[in-house]
Amino acid sequence: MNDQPDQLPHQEIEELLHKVAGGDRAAFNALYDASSRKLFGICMRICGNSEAAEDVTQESFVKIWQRADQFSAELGSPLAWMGTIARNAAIDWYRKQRKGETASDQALEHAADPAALADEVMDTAQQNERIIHCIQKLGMDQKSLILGAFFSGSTYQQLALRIGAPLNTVKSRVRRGLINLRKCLEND
Amino acid sequence: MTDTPNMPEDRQVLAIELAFGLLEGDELAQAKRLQLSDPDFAALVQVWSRRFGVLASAVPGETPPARLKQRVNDAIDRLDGGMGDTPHFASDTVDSSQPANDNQISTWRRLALAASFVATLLAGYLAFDMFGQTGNEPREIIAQGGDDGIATRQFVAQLTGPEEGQFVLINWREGADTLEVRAIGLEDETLAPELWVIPADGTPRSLGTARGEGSANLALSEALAPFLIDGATIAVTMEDPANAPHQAPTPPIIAVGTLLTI
Repeated sequence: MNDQPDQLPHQEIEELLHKVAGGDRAAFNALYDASSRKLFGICMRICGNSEAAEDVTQESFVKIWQRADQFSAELGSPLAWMGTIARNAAIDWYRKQRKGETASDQALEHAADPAALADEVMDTAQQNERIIHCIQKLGMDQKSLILGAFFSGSTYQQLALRIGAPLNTVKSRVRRGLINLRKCLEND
Repeated sequence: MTDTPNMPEDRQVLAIELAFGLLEGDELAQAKRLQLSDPDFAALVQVWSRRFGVLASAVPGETPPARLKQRVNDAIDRLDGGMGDTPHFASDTVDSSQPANDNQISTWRRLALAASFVATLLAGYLAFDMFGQTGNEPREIIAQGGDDGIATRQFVAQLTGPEEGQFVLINWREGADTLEVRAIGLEDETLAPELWVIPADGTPRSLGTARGEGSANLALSEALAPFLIDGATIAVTMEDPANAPHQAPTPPIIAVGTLLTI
């Protein structure tokens, strides 16, 4: 899966981001080297094909170049911040491509597979984050719904349409999962 | 979840739902209102947004094609250097005849970066108050969507003029054929503020002219709507409204900002 290291320590990525905010292109290229595999992986996961993922990854890096000054440590890790930009760009791309859809079935199925998350996160400096661990502890139904919604950018309504279940049923199931997630994060 | 949640559990779940992006329509509007009016709730949303950010970054990496790095750099060159191709902005940008210096940043981009910070802070305020609404009145800020049921997004920008008290506030609901613009302190006997969107290719496109003082709805063509995306650069110049829209802006740029979704 990973044939090369793609992660600098968070502090170094944060320093690169600060330099990028000042217009430092060399720092930007170093940031690209450190994070492009991660962002491309996110875009691939949501878009489902490499051509689209390439376009969206490009768009994501342009946004990072434009918005680097908006990053603050309070927003979380720099990689998580960049990952969120890529995820949102990928979801936006898909919505534009297929109005009425939120993401491909492939993306939903792939996104809803939590197994792919755990190994990767152990390789990062995010080991203190409990959310992956807590998601793993959810029941399969709740886990799939929550991850599917997250990586497809679906609202409750869109999720209900997608899986053909009544809106209130979907809300109840997702909310139960979110409550369990919160309890796990607080107590585990 | 549509009523103001008083129970701690309700607030927690609503914060999670908002951070996760599960809400739309009235539910989203009310949650956004709570986020703007209740700092404790806003902090909760931020905590959960940070947690979910980790989720995105936990996706396994994949090696992109080698050409992508050059593509990204080319896109940024166009973004930063494109304005230099417009003679009107020659004094305001890098020399387009010279290769871009890695550490060079054009003046207009610095302005946009600074303005985007302000816009972020004021985005919530704009959502409720820029067109005379008070923060106490319920207002749906995210539409239910069209016939296809897709929730539409609202975009806002605040551009600050060179003199104190000069602002241009922009509000656009995705899919709408008009752009709501309110200008403050830009009245002029002969000129009017003309708005420009500057997409990735660096070529400014006129969005039309607004009133120098007060609100106006600018007709938005289908050709221009795709340029109004999150993070788009918006600029304002003062132009003769008689022959607007113009093909290119006349210097100086009096305000630059970033369009943001809320």
